[in-house]
Amino acid sequence: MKPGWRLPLPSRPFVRFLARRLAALILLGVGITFVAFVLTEMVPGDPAAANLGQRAIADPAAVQAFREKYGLDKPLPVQYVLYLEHLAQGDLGLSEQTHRAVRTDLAEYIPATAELAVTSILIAFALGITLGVLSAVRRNKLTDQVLRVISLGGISMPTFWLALVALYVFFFKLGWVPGSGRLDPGVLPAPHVTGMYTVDALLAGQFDVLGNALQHLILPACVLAAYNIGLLTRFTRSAVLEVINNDYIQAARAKGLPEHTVILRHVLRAALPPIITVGGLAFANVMTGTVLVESIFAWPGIGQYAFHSATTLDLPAIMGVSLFVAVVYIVVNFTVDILYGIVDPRMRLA
Amino acid sequence: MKSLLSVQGLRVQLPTASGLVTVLDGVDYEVEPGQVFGIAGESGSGKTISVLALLGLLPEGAVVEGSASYAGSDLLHLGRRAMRDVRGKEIAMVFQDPLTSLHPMMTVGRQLTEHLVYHLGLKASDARDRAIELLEEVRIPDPAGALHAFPHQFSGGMRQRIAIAIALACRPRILIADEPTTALDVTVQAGILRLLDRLRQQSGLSVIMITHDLGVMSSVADWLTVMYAGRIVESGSTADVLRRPRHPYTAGLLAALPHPEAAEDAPLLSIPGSPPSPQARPAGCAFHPRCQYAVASCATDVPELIGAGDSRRLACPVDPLLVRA
Amino acid sequence: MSAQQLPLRFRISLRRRAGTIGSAWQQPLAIVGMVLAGAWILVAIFVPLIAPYDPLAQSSHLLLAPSSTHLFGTDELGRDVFSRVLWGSRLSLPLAFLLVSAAVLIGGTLGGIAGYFGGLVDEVVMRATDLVFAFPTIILAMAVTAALGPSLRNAVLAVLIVFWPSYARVVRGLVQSLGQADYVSATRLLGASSARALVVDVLPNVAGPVLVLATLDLGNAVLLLASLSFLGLGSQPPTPEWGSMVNTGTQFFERWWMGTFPGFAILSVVLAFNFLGDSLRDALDPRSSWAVRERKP
Repeated sequence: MKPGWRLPLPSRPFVRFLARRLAALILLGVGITFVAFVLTEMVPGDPAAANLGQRAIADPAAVQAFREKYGLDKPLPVQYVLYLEHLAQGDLGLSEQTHRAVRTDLAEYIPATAELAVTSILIAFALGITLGVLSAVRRNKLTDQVLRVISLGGISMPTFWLALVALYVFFFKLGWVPGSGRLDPGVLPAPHVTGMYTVDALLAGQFDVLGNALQHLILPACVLAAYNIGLLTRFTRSAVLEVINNDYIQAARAKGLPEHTVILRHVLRAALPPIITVGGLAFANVMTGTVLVESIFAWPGIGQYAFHSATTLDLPAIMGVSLFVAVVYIVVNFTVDILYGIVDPRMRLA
Repeated sequence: MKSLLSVQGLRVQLPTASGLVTVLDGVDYEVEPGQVFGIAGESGSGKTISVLALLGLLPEGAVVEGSASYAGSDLLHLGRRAMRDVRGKEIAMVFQDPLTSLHPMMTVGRQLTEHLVYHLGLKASDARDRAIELLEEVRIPDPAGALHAFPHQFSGGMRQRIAIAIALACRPRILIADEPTTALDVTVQAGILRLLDRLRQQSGLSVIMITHDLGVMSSVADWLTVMYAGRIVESGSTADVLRRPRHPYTAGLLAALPHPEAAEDAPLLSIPGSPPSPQARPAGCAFHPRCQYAVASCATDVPELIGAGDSRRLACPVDPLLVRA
Repeated sequence: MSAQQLPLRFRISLRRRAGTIGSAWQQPLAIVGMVLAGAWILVAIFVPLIAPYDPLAQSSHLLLAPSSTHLFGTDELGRDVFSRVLWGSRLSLPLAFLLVSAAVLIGGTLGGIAGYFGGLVDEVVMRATDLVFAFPTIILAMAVTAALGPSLRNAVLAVLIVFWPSYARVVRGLVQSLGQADYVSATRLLGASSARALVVDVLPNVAGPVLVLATLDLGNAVLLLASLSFLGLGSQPPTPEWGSMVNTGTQFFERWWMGTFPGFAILSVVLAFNFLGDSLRDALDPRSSWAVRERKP
């Protein structure tokens, strides 16, 4: 019987665990960029010519300079290392389609997608977890069966089709939401702080801009959330059912606590770990969704950028996008790990 | 003295895939204040169900008949609100497995104080003080620090002590202990039992002690009720019943206990056969297929639990062991 | 949640498994799924007899709204949308089956080998799956099709690359835990060879979860292929593929029938497979999901 129960938070073993995970994630992130690099190498054609366009024909010296800078005449691993070196200096290359630094492109498009993604995830979590708990508590009753069909519907729907239908119904026919873009044509965004129009408007106190941005945001965010709502409802339901018959829940009832306290405080907390895992998946789903949906909503985000880069074989842009993907992957997974540790104290000893 | 808890004709049916099944078939008992009331029996005898029924913790779809009179109301027919006021506050429960009966993700302090606040409306600081007091009573070292710790940081025995502290937080009048020591080492067992005894003496608490372990029963229980297949087969004062069992089942249970001073090659006795599942109850006396004293009427007539002299009750018309002194 | 829990659930003999799968058919959702999937399969087989028009036949009746002569209207080249939607089933359904079968085979084999032999083989396979999982599915699929050139064949390849790791993981996990399971060790102790243990003891218990995953993946395959075609990276015009038809529909926004009906087709097929897969999962593991049966207290 040791005195002194207090575990310092975070405990040493947990910090070590996190550090190991971070290292593994970073390694994976590097792997992602490497795979992207290899894929781009499979593309036939001369990157120099493609990148410099007209100049390539007229100016051999420029072509040669380009080749040397990006080491195109050297073996693959060397090229990759060169790329990493450039990366360390913040040079992500020039995009072939926009003829701007990839870095600039990313800085412009990422916040737009981030705004959409975060809103969508929040909607999905709020609705998905609520419906999942409801389903579990009313197991096998009508509510449950109906929610089962609805959630199966959510994960069966093609997102791009839902976007189309939603836009047609809510914009074209009902006129409840504006059609495309992030703001109405005449409206200027608030001064740039984060690049997310809603956040910037809020910070600047420009509530009319905020309102307009929210109006444009709501439909695409809901469309993107549809799949995740279905997913979260199902996972929350099974997570809650796994937990709800455990002894400690029965013990909580035996203490005389009201049922809603038992469900919300005891059951939900115990069911959180698998729900957090799904949260990570949900992020990946949203990223997938943005590629499909941004063009329909004329939302100038990373999804569109990724798509155009892939189809025009804009190599620096592709590498930029894959870098973004890798970073998001690392951040999301690492956040999931940390959240696990916060929610389940037993994990801190892992 | 009027009984604290008086259960009459308690019958419970549970829903299964093949319909309702009777798991408790008409049970009567009375618990006195300050008494340690023991319920013994094998798994499936219905001992746990009988107390879950008291607290309204039976699974959905369960059908309950009978009455359980406590402090002027019938526990079996209380509304939800009233039931919540009884649970944890008047009647509290300690579960069998301390490794699973505490919430793994909530601090010990939280689990101790949340119903204190709910039932008694204490302020946070008062609740905290009471929690420390409770942990001291159950002999947990460094109680202040323990408040911030999580259950997995404690051993099984200490977790059970914490569970007892949680149960006693609001000073209930009845504590139900469902196999409180079964999941623990023998040495730890003794500590828990001593603790329960001390707490009982301090506060006049009644304890309903459920266990299949007759050894535990003999050391703590004042009153012993033996259950088999959903019915009470024998009840009386513990010392009396264990010294002079009159029901063949009770005798069989006692005989099955390995005696520490028995000869080395003495065979381990067991009751032949196994307890029936609720769906496959034998007709008449449920024990008769395994009973060496059974007569023809045992297979058709359900034995009534009747007084058999000396505050003993017995459900065996044959009463084969009466002659033995 | 982990593979360690699975062996107990799926410790079922061949005989009982038939019974439990049989019970899946009794659930209403499974019946709906079967009927729907069956209907589409019949459509795919008999479409030359059912479709009123040639899906590739252009006409001068451009952009007509749905009517009695053209149930789903016509598209921008005067082709009958109804016929095109029906013919689309001949692409989506067989490709989805092909994809999933290939993924199960490749992924399952790799996973089985990884789980059985462990060590370096295991490490390599696991890192490969990690890498694939790290990419959001469509980005990976996009990248592959872009690199190889947009065509339906390459899209199928891309989806295959995205799908096989799930099976590798599931089979590996099951093989590992089952390999350590007591009854398999007992069989080996009794003298059965490793191969026999693998086939008789391990395979039936692996089949269950793999079957559930595969059925659900049929829907995912249809979705992913349609998505790639929607982006222009899969089937190319004039092939009547549902995804690319929705794409055309976005360009002719007011002509709602052009995009809506193909999308409905996708939805109904995926829904059917999901209903089936969900019911199947119920039958094999009633505790976890939406089991109709009451749990015994």
